[in-house]
Amino acid sequence: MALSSPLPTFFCRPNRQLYSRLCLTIFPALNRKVTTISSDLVNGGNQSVTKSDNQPSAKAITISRSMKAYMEKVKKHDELMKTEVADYEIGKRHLANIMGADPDTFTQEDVDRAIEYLLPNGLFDKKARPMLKNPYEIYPKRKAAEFTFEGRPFHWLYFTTSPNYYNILYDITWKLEGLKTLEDQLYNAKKDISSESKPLNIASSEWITFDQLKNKVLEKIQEKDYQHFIVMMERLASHPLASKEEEFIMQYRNKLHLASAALIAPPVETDADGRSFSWAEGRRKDSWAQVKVYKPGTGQVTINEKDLSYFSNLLYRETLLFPLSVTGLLGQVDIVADAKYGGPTGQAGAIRFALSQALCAFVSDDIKEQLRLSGMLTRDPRKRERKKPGQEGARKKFTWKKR
Amino acid sequence: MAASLRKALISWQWQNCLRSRQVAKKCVQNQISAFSSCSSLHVEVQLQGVPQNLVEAKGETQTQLDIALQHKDYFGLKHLVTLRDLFNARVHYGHNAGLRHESMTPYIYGCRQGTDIIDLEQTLSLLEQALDVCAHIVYRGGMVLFVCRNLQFLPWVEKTVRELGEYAHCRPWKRGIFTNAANIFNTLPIYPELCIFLGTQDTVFETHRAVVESNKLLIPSIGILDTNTDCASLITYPIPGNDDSPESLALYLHLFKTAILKAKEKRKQDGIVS
Amino acid sequence: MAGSRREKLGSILSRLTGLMQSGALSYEERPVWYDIVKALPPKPSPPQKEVPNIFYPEDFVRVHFYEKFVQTDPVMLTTQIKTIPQRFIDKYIELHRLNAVPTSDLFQQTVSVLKSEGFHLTTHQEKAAATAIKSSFKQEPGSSSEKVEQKLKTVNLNTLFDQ
Repeated sequence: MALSSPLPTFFCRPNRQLYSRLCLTIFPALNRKVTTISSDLVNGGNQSVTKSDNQPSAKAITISRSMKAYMEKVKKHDELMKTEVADYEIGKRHLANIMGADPDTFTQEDVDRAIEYLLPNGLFDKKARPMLKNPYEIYPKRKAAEFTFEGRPFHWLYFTTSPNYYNILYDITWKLEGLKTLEDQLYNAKKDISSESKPLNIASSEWITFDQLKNKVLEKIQEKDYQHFIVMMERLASHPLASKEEEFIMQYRNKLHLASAALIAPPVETDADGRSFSWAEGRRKDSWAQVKVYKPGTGQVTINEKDLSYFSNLLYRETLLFPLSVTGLLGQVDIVADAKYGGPTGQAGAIRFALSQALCAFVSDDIKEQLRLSGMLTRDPRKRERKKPGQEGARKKFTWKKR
Repeated sequence: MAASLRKALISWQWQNCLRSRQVAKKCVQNQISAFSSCSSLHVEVQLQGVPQNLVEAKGETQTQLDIALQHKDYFGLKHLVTLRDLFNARVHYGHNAGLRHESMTPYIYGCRQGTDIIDLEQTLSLLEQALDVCAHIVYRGGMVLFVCRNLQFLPWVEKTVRELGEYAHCRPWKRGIFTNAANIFNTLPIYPELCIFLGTQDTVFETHRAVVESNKLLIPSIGILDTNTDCASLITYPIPGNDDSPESLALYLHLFKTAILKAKEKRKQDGIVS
Repeated sequence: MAGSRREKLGSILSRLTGLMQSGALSYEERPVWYDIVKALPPKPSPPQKEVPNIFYPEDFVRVHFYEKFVQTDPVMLTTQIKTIPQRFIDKYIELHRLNAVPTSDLFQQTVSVLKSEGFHLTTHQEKAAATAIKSSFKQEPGSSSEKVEQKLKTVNLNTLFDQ
């Protein structure tokens, strides 16, 4: 729209044609209902009837100028794509002939392999390397028409220019309102909210990124719009009844890969008495330990055929029992441990490490992840540092006076 | 200078209106049976006492749309709302007198202890006309865009509009959505046939940009004007009323919803398909 | 005016009519709203005016009341109990309507009627005296305390338990 200032129509009278064109650029609203056409044009038929009535006529499909323009654009694009696809097919056949393969059964994978062979390329970015692909994969995707033949937009938020994005915000708002209403109802009925729904577990996932959101809505949105989205989502997810809307929330979260899922838990075995157990070995400093965990049990602890008093220091006993309190199995398992070498610190640590691994056989993935996060499933690599010659110890120096 | 000129213009308009009213009265007295179609319709609104049979289009065959338009109350909206409803919905509460805009003074009944009270009798008649216009536009297949920037009511407005199958814009207004639509939407532009402003302020200090843009693009508008609005002249069908209280907003939403639904129903009954 | 984007000139109807008169837009191409706005034209806005203040008759009675008396009873928003000033105003207007008392005596008459009904109206002087007595009572707890206390207690007893 080149003309934003008022037209000088007061002073000069332009010729009628030019004038009407100017008006069309300035008042496109007036163009909305223009022609009335028969329905077969919609299917690409010839333009048969162009009717201009005194009143907007009834029972005929009217087509807006916007739709016409859109259809022309689509037609042009389709023609372009047609020639591109034809080129692609010819190229594929040439490539098959070069490689000595059957052109009719030459697949896209064969194309990729052939190009890698014929045109070896060391460029780092894969997008920069030569390729031959279907044009539909390479050309950017186009949004379908957003309005009907009468020029009525499909989406009720069309005029906001970002209907998909704002629709998400609308959904969040009303879902949160729904949860609040439910909470009020529960409160009035004097029911316990925690019994009605479990808290939403979102620790194993994170919000989708800005780019992912952009791809989801297919609209130009700003960083601040993304921040707004995150704030609203956080509000919804932190509601005590959020698990009722878990499905909706999880649409906008990426699942995190659990590091603990990669850990292999020891198998559960059965001994001669029919008790199920698992065992594992652990090391800390110079010590070595082997631990057997029996479940079900009564909380008995046996270390080198003694009870917990094997360690006189309370700190060591506590160290040893820590994995049990994390998993919540204190008093539900029996523990039999053998510990050798080193001192009490090392032995306690080695038993703890072995115990944690053995416990993994009996607990869920979530608790396994908690064990991992609290450092129970990691070997402590610290060792005694050797004494250096010319020094008193590993780091300590002899006393030295200059004079 | 400009203010006095505007005042003179307004008073001239007012006198004109009075004159046309007198003319219409005379017409009735003289039992003149036919007017030219345009002016007769004009007069009919000015003077509600004109009998239906006096209003007749000259020459042309009447279509259903014409018949609907000449009907006094085709959609049955005249007694949809009463003065008491408006009062109960707190429509009469204006802003603090210090915030008053002089263009709104004709619609203010008085000032009670520093708060402006809106003249509900004027509101009622203007509201009824606006509802009628809205229904007629929907009846002819027009699109309606609801605009409201009050964050408190945003979800309610959007919900109602979505149920109606009309269009809403309650989010920040991107400059040029109307005036630069071709570039923003990347198609030949599409415009609504009517903008309804449930509050004409964008922020506390600014008039909504859509008020200006719709006026530039010749899109008629209906607006709820509180006593502090400065854009009364830019709104085609102004309705003085409180735009800050949930009760009044709920009432407006209900009224426009009813009008639009009635119009759509009539449209279906009369078999009007665009 | 036609073709201009100056929104402050004329109305949308006049601008569109201008477009049609100049031939830039044919009658058949007119927008949907054109017929409607033409048939139901917006009412011209009435001229600007001075905004009057709104007063009710009771406002003047109220001012008169507060010139002489103070409000001592608590205002309860949750109950329907009338405050003493409100009772006074109601009685005043009732007497005025009966037209039995000359306007100059109306105020005194209302006071006496309310007093006969058992309501105590506290004047500004009484309130000032009460606070003065109260403060002196605080300073010297021994002196004539019982009488003062008795007096303070009786001030509002009637009204407090009236309802």
